[in-house]
This record gives sequence, structure tokens and C-alpha cells, in this order.
Amino acid sequence: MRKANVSIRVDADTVQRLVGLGGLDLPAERAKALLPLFSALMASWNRLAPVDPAWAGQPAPEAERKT
Amino acid sequence: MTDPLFLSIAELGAAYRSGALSPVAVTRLALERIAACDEALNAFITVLGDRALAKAATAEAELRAGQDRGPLHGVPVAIKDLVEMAGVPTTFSSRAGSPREGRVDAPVIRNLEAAGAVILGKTNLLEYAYGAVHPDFGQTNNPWNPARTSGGSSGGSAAAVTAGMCAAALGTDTGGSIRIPASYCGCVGLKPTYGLVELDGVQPLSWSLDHVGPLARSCADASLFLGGLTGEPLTLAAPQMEGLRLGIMQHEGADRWLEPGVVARFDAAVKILERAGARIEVVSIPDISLASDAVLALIGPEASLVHQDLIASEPEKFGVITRMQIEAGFAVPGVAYVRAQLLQQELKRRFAALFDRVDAVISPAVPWVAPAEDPPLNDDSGPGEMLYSGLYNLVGLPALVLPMGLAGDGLPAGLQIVTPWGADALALSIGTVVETAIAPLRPDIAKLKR
Repeated sequence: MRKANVSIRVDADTVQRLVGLGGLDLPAERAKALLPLFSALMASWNRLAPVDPAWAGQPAPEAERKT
Repeated sequence: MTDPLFLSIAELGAAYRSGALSPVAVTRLALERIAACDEALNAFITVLGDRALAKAATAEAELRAGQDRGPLHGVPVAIKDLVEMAGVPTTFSSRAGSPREGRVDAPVIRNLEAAGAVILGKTNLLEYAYGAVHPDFGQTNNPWNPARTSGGSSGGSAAAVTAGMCAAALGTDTGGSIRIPASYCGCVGLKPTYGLVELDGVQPLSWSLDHVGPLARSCADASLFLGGLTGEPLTLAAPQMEGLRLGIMQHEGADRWLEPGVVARFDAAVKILERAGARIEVVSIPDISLASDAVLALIGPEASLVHQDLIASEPEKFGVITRMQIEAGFAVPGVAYVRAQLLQQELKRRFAALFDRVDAVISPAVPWVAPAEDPPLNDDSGPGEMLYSGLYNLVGLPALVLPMGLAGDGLPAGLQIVTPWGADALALSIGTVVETAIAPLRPDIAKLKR
């Protein structure tokens, strides 16, 4: 299974820009406060890298659709 | 005489109908219990004493007149404080956007009151059900040891049920928020099949994962309360245990977290089920170790969108951790969100295949007993706490937690039973087999009274 190993160092400016891209205007001091949480989240997102895109488009299980 | 506040819902109903007890008398007792014990527990945010007594008086008059609304008629219950009730404030255990005066009753409230349930008040929770205590509201303490947490986010509902402040309570569950408190407090909690209970009027956290369900002191009571929530009675069949195929779900890395007391209670619960006739096998599903990461990747952006106006207008009113989680959610990459959705769909297919082979899946509910405080979602222990629970929010399967005994430090631990979509009643029926073999757990209420 494919796995992208990405190692990115983030700083407060990067966090501020990324949150801003999502639509929230984040002051610089808030971005700095988010760094530890953001690092933990990045590790979590990276762990999802083995998810196979070929899983897309397959039907939901019949048992679930019946409910 | 048995403490009336620890009677089952069926026993309470029988006592009402025989005249041995009345809804008004029991409601008064419950309000007295709340007044006496809630300083220690902090389970309630709003107590609706006058309203509850008026509703109880109505229920009593109706029963005397022969107008019987069913098993919940006159039964005292509580509601997690993120559900809209007309004329009642909702706090969400937050200062942001709070309190909000309810304009209409959520359908779950309408259903419960149509069934005659008496709502005593609204219970404490982690702020907006998002994994952290707001300091102005504080933690709900555990009835077994108030120096420990009741868990979250439906800790107030679990503590209230366990301490006999109410017969059953509404909780919500997005990553384990019904089942983790049920495990920590030693009560029954059911996260029903996704979509079984209507979410309208219930504050969302993550629409992909949110569920509403019951907390109660037995599987039978949880079944009756679930019927009250949906407006459709749920029939519990006698469990057919002979030949029932049960799979013990293997979780990679669980040994890192599992406490020996929890393992011992789980092994004992498996033996109970085996003696009752179940055939036990060990089962596994590839990639379930990614489920907690997928849950976080879905909750993050969805919760941030839910709160986008409040986080822009009054961010300082959120608690520190909740605020950071909402802010960070705006930066979740689209690729991570889509991968989480793909994993969700794939795991559903894998569980569907597994349920061709077994009738139910079991595991501990949480790897440990109640800690002093709830671990934050994103620190090292957060994923451990929802190791067994978040997976089933992702796939939407019904997941029941019930006590399997005291596991360490005099604190309970929970067994989780998971069944196919729509087979909520089967999970509850299997649960009755375990609970009848284990002595009921009752904390020492006298120690909680001021």
C-alpha cells in the first residue's frame, strides 16, 4: 500500500496562512499557541496516508442501506 | 425497602400503577437527591424543579384517570445541555453563544414528553461536546470517586443516572461521548445505529459522526428510553445465546493502554457469554487502527464550520482547548478529510463482510478506569480513550456499553457490544445476559451527600 512520508516543519506563519485559507483570520499570537496541537494533527493526518484512493466509488454495504 | 430512585423503569411503572409510588413523590425524591449530591458531582447545569413537579402532577392525574402513555409515564429523566427545549436556556457548557433560550422543543424532547417522561433538568457536558471542560462549568465528578472524572462528553448524564438522580438520560456520542462516561460511571450507554434518533434541535459537533442515545442503569431501561427518544417502542427479545457467534475485536497497540483490571473483567465477561452458549472467536479488520485519526480528520473541519460564526465573533468566550481545536480545524487538508471519508466507506464494507461471519463484536469500552481528568483529544492519551469507541461512530454501527464489574481503584469498567446496522435490540438483548450474571453496581450515595 502506498504511503507518502511527508516531513514538514511548521511555524506560526504557516499555521496562520493555513487557517486563513480555511476562512478564519487568525492573529499571529494565536497561531503560535496552536503550534503543539497543529504538530499532533499533522502526525494524525500523515497516518491516513495509506488510505487507498481505489476505495472510492464502491457501493455502500447493503446491510447499511437497509436501515 | 429498595431506594425508589434505584428502581428500574418497569418497577417504577408498576409501583405507579399499583399506587405504591406516585410520579410527584418520586420526582420530589429525585430533586432532593440532586440537591443533596450535585455539589459533589456537578452533574446538572439547570434543574427544572417547578416544571418537573408540574409535569409529574399531570402524569399522576393522567394515570389515575386511566390515560396511560406507556412505560416512561411519570419517569424522571435528564437531558444533556445541548438539546433545545422551548423556554429553557441551553448553555452547551460554554460562554460562547450561551445561554441560548429555546424557542421550540427538539423532536427528541417532544417524543419523550409525549411518552410522559418528566424532565428534571439539563446535564453538564464537555464544552460543545468537543472534548474539553470549560472552567466556568467544571468537570462532572464520578459517583464512585468524586476525585475522578465521569468522562465526556455526556458525563453529567452518566453521573446523574448512576447516582439515582434520574432513571435515564439523553446523551450524544461523536467519538465515544455516551460510551466512555457509561464505562467510567458503571452504567449502560447505547450509541444507536447512525440516524436512528433524530438530531434536529440537538447541537451538532460533526454531522458525519453525531448520534443521540440513552444512558440508563440497565439494558431494559436503555431500551425503553431509546423507544421514548424515537417515538417507536423497541422490543427486546429474549436473547438466543446458544450458538450466537461473538467476535472479540483485536485492536493493534491496545496492550499499550489496557489496564490489567480491565483485561480481567473483560475475560470474565467473555466467560459469562461463553457459558450462556455463545461461540467465541477472535476477529480483526485491517486498518481499524486508523479510525481515530479518521474521526479527528472529520470532526476538525466539521466542528469548525459548525462554530465559524462564534469563533469569529466571540472567540475568547470558548475554553482554551475548545478554541484551539476549532481554530485548527480550519486548516485540515482536504486530502485528509477525503481519506477519512474513504476509510469510513471501506470499513463499513469490511464490517458488513465480518457480520456474515459473526453476530456481534465485543471489546472493552475504554482501556482504563476513570482518570482524574478527561484527556484532551489530541494529546497522547486522547486516542487511547476512544480506541474502542470512535471506530463505531465512523461506521455507524450500534454500540452498547454496560458495566462488567469493578476493575481497579474501586472503579467500574465497561464491556462494548457491537451489532449490525439496525440490530440495536440485539446488542441490548446480549447485554442483558451479562448484566444478569453480574451484581448491580451501586456507588455509595451517602458519601456524596452534603
